[in-house]
Amino acid sequence: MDPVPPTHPATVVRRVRIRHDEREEWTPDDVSFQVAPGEVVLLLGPSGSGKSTLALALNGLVPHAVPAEFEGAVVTGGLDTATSTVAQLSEHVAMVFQDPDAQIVTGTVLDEVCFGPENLLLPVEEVLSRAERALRQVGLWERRAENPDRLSGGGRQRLAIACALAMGSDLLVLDEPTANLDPAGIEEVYAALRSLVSGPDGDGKRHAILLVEHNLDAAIDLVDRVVVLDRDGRLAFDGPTRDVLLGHLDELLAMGVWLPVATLAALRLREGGVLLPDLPLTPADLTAALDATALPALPTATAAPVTAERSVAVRVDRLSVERGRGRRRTPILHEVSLEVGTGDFLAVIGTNGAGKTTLLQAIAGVVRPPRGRIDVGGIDPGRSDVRTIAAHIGFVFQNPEHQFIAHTVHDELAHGLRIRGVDDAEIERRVDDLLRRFGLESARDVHPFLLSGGQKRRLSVGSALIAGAPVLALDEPTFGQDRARANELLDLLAGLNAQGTTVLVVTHDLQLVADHASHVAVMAGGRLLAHDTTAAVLGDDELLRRAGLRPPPLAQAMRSLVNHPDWRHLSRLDDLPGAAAR
Amino acid sequence: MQRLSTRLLLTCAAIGVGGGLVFVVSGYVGGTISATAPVLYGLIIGVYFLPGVVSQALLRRGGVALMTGLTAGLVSAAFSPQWFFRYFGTGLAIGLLQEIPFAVSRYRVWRAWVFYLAAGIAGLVFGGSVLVVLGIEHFAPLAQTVYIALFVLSPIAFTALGRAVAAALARAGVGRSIAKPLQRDRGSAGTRA
Amino acid sequence: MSATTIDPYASGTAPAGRFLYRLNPLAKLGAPLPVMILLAFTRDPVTPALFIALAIVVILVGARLTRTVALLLFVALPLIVAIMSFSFGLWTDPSRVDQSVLLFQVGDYRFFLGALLVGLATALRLAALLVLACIGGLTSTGPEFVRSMIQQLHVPYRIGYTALAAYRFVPRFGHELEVIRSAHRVRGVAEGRGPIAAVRRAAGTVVPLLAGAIRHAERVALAMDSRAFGAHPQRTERTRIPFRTRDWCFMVAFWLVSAVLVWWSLAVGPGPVIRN
Ligand SMILES: Nc1ncnc2c1ncn2[C@@H]1O[C@H](COP(=O)(O)OP(=O)(O)OP(=O)(O)O)[C@@H](O)[C@H]1O
Ligand SMILES: Nc1ncnc2c1ncn2[C@@H]1O[C@H](COP(=O)(O)OP(=O)(O)OP(=O)(O)O)[C@@H](O)[C@H]1O
Ligand SMILES: [Mg+2]
Ligand SMILES: [Mg+2]
Repeated sequence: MDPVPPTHPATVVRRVRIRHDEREEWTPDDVSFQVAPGEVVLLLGPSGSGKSTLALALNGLVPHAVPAEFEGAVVTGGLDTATSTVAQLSEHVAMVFQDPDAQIVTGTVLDEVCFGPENLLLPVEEVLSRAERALRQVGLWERRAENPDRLSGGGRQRLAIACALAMGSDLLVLDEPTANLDPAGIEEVYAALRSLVSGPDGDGKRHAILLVEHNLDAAIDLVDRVVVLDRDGRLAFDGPTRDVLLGHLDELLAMGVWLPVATLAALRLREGGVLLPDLPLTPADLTAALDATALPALPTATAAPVTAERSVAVRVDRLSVERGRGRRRTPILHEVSLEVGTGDFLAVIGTNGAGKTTLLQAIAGVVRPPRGRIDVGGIDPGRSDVRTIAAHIGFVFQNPEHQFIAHTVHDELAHGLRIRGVDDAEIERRVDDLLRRFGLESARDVHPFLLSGGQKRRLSVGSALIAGAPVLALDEPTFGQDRARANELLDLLAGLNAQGTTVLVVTHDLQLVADHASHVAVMAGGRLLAHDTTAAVLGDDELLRRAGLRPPPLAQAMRSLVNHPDWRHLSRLDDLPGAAAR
Repeated sequence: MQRLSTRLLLTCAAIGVGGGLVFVVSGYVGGTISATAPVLYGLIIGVYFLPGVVSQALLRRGGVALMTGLTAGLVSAAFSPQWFFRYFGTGLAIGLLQEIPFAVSRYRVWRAWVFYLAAGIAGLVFGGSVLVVLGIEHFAPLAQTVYIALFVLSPIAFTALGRAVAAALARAGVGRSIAKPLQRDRGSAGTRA
Repeated sequence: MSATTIDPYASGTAPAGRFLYRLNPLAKLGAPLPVMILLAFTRDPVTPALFIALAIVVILVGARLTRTVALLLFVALPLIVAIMSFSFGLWTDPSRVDQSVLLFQVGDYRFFLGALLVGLATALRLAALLVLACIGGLTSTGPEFVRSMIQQLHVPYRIGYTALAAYRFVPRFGHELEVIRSAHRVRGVAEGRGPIAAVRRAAGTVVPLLAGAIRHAERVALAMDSRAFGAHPQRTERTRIPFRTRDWCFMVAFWLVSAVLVWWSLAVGPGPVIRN
């Protein structure tokens, strides 16, 4: 194995166009760029622009393993991907994918890291020394004997990075490596990546990284250069981070590409007449810029209208839940009490395993709760039959495919009405109405599984709503989705909420919580730590810390302000003066 | 047989795992039947045909029934080690039997009748060998007839079921990228309408 | 073993002094295989009984006697043999058995001792097959077996490792199934009791379950390919499952003992081993 001369670009992408079988569009379309050795490049673009497809082309999976038409050339580590096998390319480019579970093949952490080098037919000593080096780099060496299932999400993703490192390649391609993780997991992964690029590491080389990531706040301080694809998969911009992100702000926003929250905040402020000298990219930048600027006094906090007789949509009274059987039966929720007002938008937050899903499922009767502990609009989900529950509360599962039961979109929506004995004409009317509202008319007769991710999500919300339930509960509706789709859904929920639907969501995305929820419930270890307005919860650092969470990016920036104490409690974009002006 | 892609192998494994779990459930049913009414044992033998039929009807490629049968056998054996041979052997043997009729046409004909013919013959072969172990010669003639008939009918019924599952999966767009395209000449009766 | 169900990878450390765990899985399966084939053709109750005894001795000496194993060997097994002797006896043709001793009569139907003995022979035969399989089944893990298939039987490693990866799908399947079922339940799919509703419920879960599993499998395949899976005809095997002298010794010893038992049953035993 000759080491590639370090002056070689890690990869050269030349006029690449790719079209998946059975697709019309080319995504990406005519894209060229290079990644220099040791460089960290962020690939941005709206959903569907072909970022993942392009990533798969870098090690030849497209076109060798994924059926697609491929034009142009990719030269990685000096090898043309069209004429080399994926196996040969694997020594020059290593991949980390979005779902940590879909990358694990063997039964122990050590076996997993050895899997790649073993396939390369390296001698056992070399396999082991590579594995040890890679595991130490991501801090998993001590846990090498464990089953990967026992690692946290962040840990499993670090394991995937170690596996990539053990291939000995100079280029690491990561496709949304943190999309499935909670905040702690995201931090772990970026800490590992940071240590890879911070200088010559264990194996004496600086890896080049191509990163596809929607969560810019976590990634931005790592990135040297940004490459942007537009909606049609064409190359839009390519240049140093600051030049691209700040120089083409308006185009990027129009494209639907996500920007760091700090930058978005500065834009809002600009609309409100607060001009910052330099647009910030990170919370720290924002803090510094704000401290150096004179800021207007905040409009007196629009005191939340305290309606005296707030009617209660959901009441939970000392709910305890146990799971498992026999000796493995363990308590999961401990005496949770909670009242959700009609018309609230409640976010349930907490670390992995805090009991959020269990709470939500009990409220919606998905897993039958003990009797007499829950009241949803006058019924007890512990006692009522499915039809009655469905008429009072709709539940949306994390993976929409799990809840689809019919062969067409129309039947999927009609099902909830049919089992309740609604007459046919009425069913047609309501289904058509919903199809229109959710933009699914053209998909009326399509099989639900064939919809795009965003359409599936809308359909699952629609089928939970159609029975007319005044309360909607959603479990991690944004899990594994990009920000654009997440926002589309959140806007939909906000619309429903404005019309009076009470919304309960479980989520890990605190900025999203900050921007949309009216109230927040914090769970930790099966107990309810707090339930209050969003501002009150997100403004309480001590509370978030106790729950194992971190303040969302905007709150982090505001919290550190020195010169503007009255701004410190801000956590939502909508509370900034610019937003208020709109 | 051309080299099977990793994708195809793992797809078969996924179907096989599903089949393996069905084996485990049917194992308990089968255990009860063979303890109480051994003559009816043939009823559940068809279950062992499911994974192979689903993969063949969905993917229409050589070797898939063997691969699915192997995984199904291994997975179910992990649940009930005392039945290692029963599960692993049955899974593998039936996977192999399922390959033969399609291999004869060099994996070009995937019509419905081949599936049913294959199931019937394999059931007969299989029933015959179990018959030796059970000592069927002691059974009354009527019992013998019922016994053998079930060994033929059950695989055919489960083949129909497996084909229905494959058709439903195909309708949901599953496995599209690796399935061999349906040959539309000679009006072949495929699983995808 | 229950551990196998929970974590098929739990290789654990082989308990000291229990020799079966330290043998190659193929040896543990190969040793009883000829006997199992032979047993299929026996018709007397003595030969299977002898081999049941042999297998139990081997398991007691060579394997750890967990609760499950003890229950299986000493409670479930005798129970199964008892029930099966009777039910097989019921199904045999009364005109073909020794009719000298009548056990009971219900209307026209007469149950002879001869029928019970035929049933007993069949039941013991099945039980012997089961216990013999336990020698290897209880003491090797699936992954070990797959590895020895690759290393000794030269099964292509791509197939073997696909099977290993499949073990990882099992818990995922279980979890997905649970979620899909509760999702369908709250949506009011095929409510009601009885086998028909149960079948309809099951049918509804098959497609989402398999569709999810296949899509997951495709992603795993991409991850494996990008780690050079299948690059060479061979791959480095760090975990060797050798086939050593002791494996040969075990197999040959088992065969010798078996031969002696068969000979004894033929020549000295109470009846001919192979009749009709
Ligand atoms: N296996 C496939 N078969 C057919 N079409 C596909 C396949 N994978 C992706 N596509 C299509 O190719 C286009 C580009 O998809 P790709 O996943 O590369 O986009 P992306 O930029 O990564 O989007 P996202 O941000 O949502 O991950 C989309 O229209 C998508 O539907
Ligand atoms: N069916 C079950 N049997 C046993 N334990 C369970 C079961 N379901 C959940 N648990 C355990 O209960 C705890 C809380 O689970 P829950 O799914 O409610 O957490 P969560 O807050 O939704 O976490 P996440 O963010 O990971 O989704 C976890 O420790 C989990 O392992
Ligand atoms: Mg993508
Ligand atoms: Mg959860």
